[in-house]
Amino acid sequence: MDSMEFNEQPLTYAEAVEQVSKFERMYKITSEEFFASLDKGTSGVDVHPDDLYEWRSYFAFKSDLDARLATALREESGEPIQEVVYSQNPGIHARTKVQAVQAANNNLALAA
Amino acid sequence: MDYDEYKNFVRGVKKDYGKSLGIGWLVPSLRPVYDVASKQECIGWRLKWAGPFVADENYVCVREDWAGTPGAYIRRYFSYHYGPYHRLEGLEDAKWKAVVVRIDARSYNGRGFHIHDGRKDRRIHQDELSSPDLSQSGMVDFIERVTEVRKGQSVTDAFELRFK
Repeated sequence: MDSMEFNEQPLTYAEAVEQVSKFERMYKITSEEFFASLDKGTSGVDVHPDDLYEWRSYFAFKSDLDARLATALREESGEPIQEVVYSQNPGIHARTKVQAVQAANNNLALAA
Repeated sequence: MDYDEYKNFVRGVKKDYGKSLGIGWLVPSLRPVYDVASKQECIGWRLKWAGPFVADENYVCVREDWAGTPGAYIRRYFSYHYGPYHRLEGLEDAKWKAVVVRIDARSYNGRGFHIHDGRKDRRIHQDELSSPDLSQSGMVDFIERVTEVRKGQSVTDAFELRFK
């Protein structure tokens, strides 16, 4: 087999996220919404086929990496990953449901 | 097929479907994706590879995404394109404006894979065809059929499209 040059720069998670964000901004729709509507045949967004390929590709790899990261964190912590709930009020930190329950319990203990 | 085997496959395509067909393959963009947690495990890769014909300003561009599943890597998405180009620079990233034939592994309106025959807006969906099964299209098969198109066959004949 003859020698052959490849451009083998790894695709990073950060790049996948950036590319997905770029397409979401460009077409003004979230990836989840867009691909769900595309599969159902209800999408009204006209996306160039090359953009469509790239967007789908980056989104799929991002989703793969998200899933693996979540699994790794879950295995490390021994607890399921909690969705972080963002407060709409300034000065109140974002926290997971578990953290919220713990905080409420602490407040009750302090009040008692 | 793992990442190294895939590289060997691409080398083989260049060797067998390169100069002999008048295709001047450019450097393939073959980008592995590694697990963010382990940083070692290859969870898939993306290929974008353009091959302009020496004789005229037409080119083949193949794109494949492979993803790791338990036990094997599978081809997740692909797109094979043949048509005219305007300039060689960045050819694998150029958005196509004209097409002779193109197979897209993308479902539009839930109608399965499709093949473009001569025009961007002329999509023949899988549900219009009794054969071939477009999801089983391969890079080598596509290149071989493109050479038949270049010899003067219609896309329908070269790709053996059988309509329902």
